[in-house]
Amino acid sequence: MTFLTGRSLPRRTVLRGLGVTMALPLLEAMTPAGRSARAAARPAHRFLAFYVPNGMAMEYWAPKGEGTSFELSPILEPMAPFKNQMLVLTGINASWNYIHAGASGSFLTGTTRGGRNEVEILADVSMDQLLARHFARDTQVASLELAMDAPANAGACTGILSCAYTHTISWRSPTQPLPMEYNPRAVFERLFGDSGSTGRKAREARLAEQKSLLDSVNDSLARLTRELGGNDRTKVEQYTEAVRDIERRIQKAEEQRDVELPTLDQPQGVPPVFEDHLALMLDLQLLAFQSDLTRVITFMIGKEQSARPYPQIGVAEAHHPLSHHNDVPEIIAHMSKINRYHMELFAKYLAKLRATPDGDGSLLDHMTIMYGSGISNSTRHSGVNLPLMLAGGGAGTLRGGQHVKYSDKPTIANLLVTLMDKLGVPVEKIGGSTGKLPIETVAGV
Amino acid sequence: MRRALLLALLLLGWGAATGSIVYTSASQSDLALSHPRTVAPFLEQYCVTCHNQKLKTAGLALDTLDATKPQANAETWERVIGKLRARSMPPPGRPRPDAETYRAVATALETEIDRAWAASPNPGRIAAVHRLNRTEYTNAVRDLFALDFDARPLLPGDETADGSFDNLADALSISTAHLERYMSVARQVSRLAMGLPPASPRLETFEIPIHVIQEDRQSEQLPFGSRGGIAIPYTFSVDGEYLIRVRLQRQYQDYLKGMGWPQQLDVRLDGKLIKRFTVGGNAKGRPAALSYAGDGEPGFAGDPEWEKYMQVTGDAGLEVRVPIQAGSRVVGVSFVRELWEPEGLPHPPQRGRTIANDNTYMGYANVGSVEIGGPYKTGGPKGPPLRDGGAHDTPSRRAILTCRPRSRAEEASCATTILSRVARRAYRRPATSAELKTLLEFFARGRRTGGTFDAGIQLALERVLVDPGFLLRVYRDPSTRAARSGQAPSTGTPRRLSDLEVASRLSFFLWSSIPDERLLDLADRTQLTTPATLEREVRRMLADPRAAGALVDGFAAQWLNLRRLADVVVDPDRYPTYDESLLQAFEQETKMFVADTLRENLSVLDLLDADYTFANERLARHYGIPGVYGSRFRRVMLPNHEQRGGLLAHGSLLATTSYPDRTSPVLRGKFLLNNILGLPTPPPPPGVDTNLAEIKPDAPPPTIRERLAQHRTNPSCASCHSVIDPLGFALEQFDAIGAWRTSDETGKPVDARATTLDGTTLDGMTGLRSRLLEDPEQFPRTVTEKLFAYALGRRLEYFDRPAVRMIVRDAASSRYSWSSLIVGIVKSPAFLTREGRRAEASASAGEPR
Repeated sequence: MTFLTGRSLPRRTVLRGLGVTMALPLLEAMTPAGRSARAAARPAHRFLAFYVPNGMAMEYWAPKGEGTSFELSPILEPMAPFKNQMLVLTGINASWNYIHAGASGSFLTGTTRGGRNEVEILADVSMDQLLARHFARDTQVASLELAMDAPANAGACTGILSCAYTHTISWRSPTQPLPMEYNPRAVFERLFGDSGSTGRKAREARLAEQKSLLDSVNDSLARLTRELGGNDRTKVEQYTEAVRDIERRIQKAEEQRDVELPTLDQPQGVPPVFEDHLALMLDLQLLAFQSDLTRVITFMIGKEQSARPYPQIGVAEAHHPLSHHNDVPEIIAHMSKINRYHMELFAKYLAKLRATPDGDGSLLDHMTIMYGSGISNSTRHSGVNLPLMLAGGGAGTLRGGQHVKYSDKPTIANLLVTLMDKLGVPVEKIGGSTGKLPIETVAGV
Repeated sequence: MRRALLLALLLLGWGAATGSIVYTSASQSDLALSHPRTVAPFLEQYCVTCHNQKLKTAGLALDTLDATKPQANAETWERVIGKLRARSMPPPGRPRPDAETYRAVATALETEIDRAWAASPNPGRIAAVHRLNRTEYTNAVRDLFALDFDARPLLPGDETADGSFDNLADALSISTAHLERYMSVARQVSRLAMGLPPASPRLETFEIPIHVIQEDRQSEQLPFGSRGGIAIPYTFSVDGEYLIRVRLQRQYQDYLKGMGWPQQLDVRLDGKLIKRFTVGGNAKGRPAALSYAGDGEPGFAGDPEWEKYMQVTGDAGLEVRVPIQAGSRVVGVSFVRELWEPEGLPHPPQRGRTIANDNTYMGYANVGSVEIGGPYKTGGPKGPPLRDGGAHDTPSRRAILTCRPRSRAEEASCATTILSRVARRAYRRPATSAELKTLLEFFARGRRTGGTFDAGIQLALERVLVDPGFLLRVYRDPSTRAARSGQAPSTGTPRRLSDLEVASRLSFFLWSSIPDERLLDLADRTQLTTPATLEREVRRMLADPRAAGALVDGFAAQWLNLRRLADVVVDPDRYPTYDESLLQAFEQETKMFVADTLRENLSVLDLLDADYTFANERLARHYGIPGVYGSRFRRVMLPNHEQRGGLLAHGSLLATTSYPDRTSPVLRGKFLLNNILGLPTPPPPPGVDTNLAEIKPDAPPPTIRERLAQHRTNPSCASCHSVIDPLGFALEQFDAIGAWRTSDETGKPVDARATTLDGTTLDGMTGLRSRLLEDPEQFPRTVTEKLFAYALGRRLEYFDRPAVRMIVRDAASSRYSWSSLIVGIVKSPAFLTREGRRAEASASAGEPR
């Protein structure tokens, strides 16, 4: 296998400084050699959660018709090119309906509970983290948690609860919400290291240095653990776990040294324009999936309760206050522009995923994407009939082109358990799940 | 009168306790004499009708509790006291006691609880492990390495909640993402501090938001007679050649603004002119029509050469490459001011990122962004090239390199000197010999791979910054080892914190950073925690400029919602006088105002009722204060005390509690209740329809007060909103951006009268202000509660209430000055002691995996 040293590819700079995004044709040319060899054997099934905040203008979301004969609604219209790889799910309820905290807090955890004050942070392990534990054996980065908002500043969170509930959808343990990264530069470093280069030599030298740092930090942590009693150790154990994660990643990176990484300059920071920032965040996700650096990504295009205005599409109002539309039809119509805009941006991303070859198909074929919000009507803080959609081929486990209606009011927890099955990591229970949902699988795959 | 008597008694009793760590007070028992006479009939008359064993309304049964021994059920009784102090119970429509009775009963209950507490205070148990938050990390790096480096944007966000703080130990977690970022930042910081060149040149962009009006001098660090632009504090890591590139602002059609006439643009380094450019005035050919709306209108665009100049070449080449010596410097970019005022009708900035058309050509050119890149060629600008390709001499290198080896043989001992000193400050205690050995191993490794002494030190510093001893504040139980081996029983007995632990507590409280050498020295000699030394050190620390800075940025900015200003969205159609400079001015005003009260050690009551504020011309105009010119903020006396004066009338508070297009009495009331009155509000109960009545299209628009009327009529809303809404109504004289107004959104005259739950009438801001000052302890109590939680790094519990009351009572004699509250907190048992290890329910710690 000596020919697999990665020389087969033109090494090109695809990510440049601020706000400059890669061009699609470059990506096609950039299938990493090592990756494609393994991918050909068996394409990996990847998971992406794409969260949209503040509910949905449901009047503009719900498709007409059911089963395979349904019409795309105004919000779903941008999905037309992907109609055969999408399922709209109607009739699923939130498992924990608590103003806005419950919306994002239960989206991937299926939890039915929350804390009672600002320091009691309590939900359940989220689906992406259950997957991450499983895929950690195969990939350098077990999971990526990404967002478009700067880290939590209090002032617009839910009641007296921790801002964690509205600022992340990923929970490593029932008491450990994971921070979501919004800075493309930090994402770059998580994926490609902080040697300032994706070149092999610099990267390997830095990996060795990091390994020695972690080894020695481990010793300090062991000393500290001995000095602390029982419950006092929890934080130190989190620290130790983090060290183990990074050690494992370094080990993986060394094992997979034949994987050629794309040559690219690291992004310098957060682009000031929303769409530039978004494009960069999505391109980095694409690279991560394509290089098989990770198989699990959670992404919030806006934190729950986000007040981002969208003047570029004529919505100068802040999103969250606008979503409290008092059920006034004109305001709902206005807000639906944001919902549609998000969908357009999502569809652009899907187009790139579809254009990226992966094994015998495209990246999109081998992905399960869960799109939606954990609240339906924000003005009533309603958790009934959530706006949910699955996209991607699900590596053969999803039969697209359908609008599925559930009449028995299942909660989102049941959907999560079902998706775990499809992703080949069956679990008994997630949060408050009570069973599974029927979702058709493409026959014969 | 009776109130005054109570206060006098308290002062007498507690005055005696000041200056010592004795928590008892004889005079308290006198107060308790009235107890049985007051409390039992009160409860019988007003409370137990609902809160009894049978009904258990809100889970509360008061008939089975012994009101003469409230200390036995302090948690429940503190809830009762809270309701009595706020006069928020009995619910609307039920018979209520008078104000004097409320106070008497609350005081009677408090007195009993406080007496029991004084005999055996429960200091609580802060989590054993307390991670530094982003601010503390940044400040620690500043104090360790004399380095201005904002690590905050590079680190994950710290857990927080509304009305809370981002330094509560229980909430702060450590994830893989954290450690990855810590490792990356440690490398950047240590290389920057040592002046080692980064792996590759980097380019950083500083953008000026489009709605910042650039018609004035923008910063104290830009020259007089300048206009617009930006001053950027920037740390140049090594001596070398750097690029400074300026881009001008474009309007929505991508035309450069203000290109119709020549203007001079200066680039400065530490105030010294590096280069002067002339921009504008060179557009050739026919311009685009003023009404041109973009590509969709063929024939309206300008000639190609005009278009090219206006879109591309007008600001091309505005860059300099200059040799710069390493260190923290200020890059300034600004225009030379001309006595030329743009004409035209005043118009609001347009929504979003657009700017009105006629701003484009004959208006001012503005700076859009400044990029700083480098280093390109490393080495000294003067003199011989450097040995390391690094830096000559910077404050950071001077701070770190306390010795410099003259030969290879001296390196090991010199490295030991340097690293043991850095480690002691970074770990806030002397490094153990094992720790020092580890650091020297990293020194040796860096020395080997990097080839220089400096590279060795750099790697060892990188190791320091990822050590749990730096990143975590750890409280060790002295008995842990013994308890584990079964030699000592697990008890909850409080133990005094060690002097070193107290040194850290002090410095993280007052400076949001690590202790200085002096604190560590005092702690080493175990001299820190004597009452006199503590008080002296607190005053010394408060006099340090770091204190006002940290308490404003860390404490006040969170308490007063200032961090939320960045998220404020304003509808410019409704508020044409709004622009982003105004929001920046709001933040500046409140920060300078609070900092001033801290520096001058004023009473916290002055926060509510000052006769001055800080303003520049922009803000003064907004507030209706005449005679303030220019962009510099200065202290101004308020000529209109009935409209301004105190936090209630600060634009920051008013704007962060409004919607983009209207005021929100609910948000304002909630903010006041939580942060000024110190009462938490629960969110609306699940399932409640929070929609307000629809606005009928053909009827005249209802005022917000009319729309909120249903809060009063619907019982599930009323129990909270009859407390919340009136407070907000009293601020209706201020619009959504804090300007004084006489008519509201619907055009009707403003009605700022409100009736509180207890029947008192509040008339406007001044009415609310006097009401808040009526009980002089009330606001200091809220400030103390907030500050106490911030100081301890844990949420306050019911058993902390007696300490809060003690601190406030003690502070009365100094009229609740900042320092009296702070000294009170520092001397409290919760600050100096920690509850011992409790017996644990289960042996297995941590989470299920």
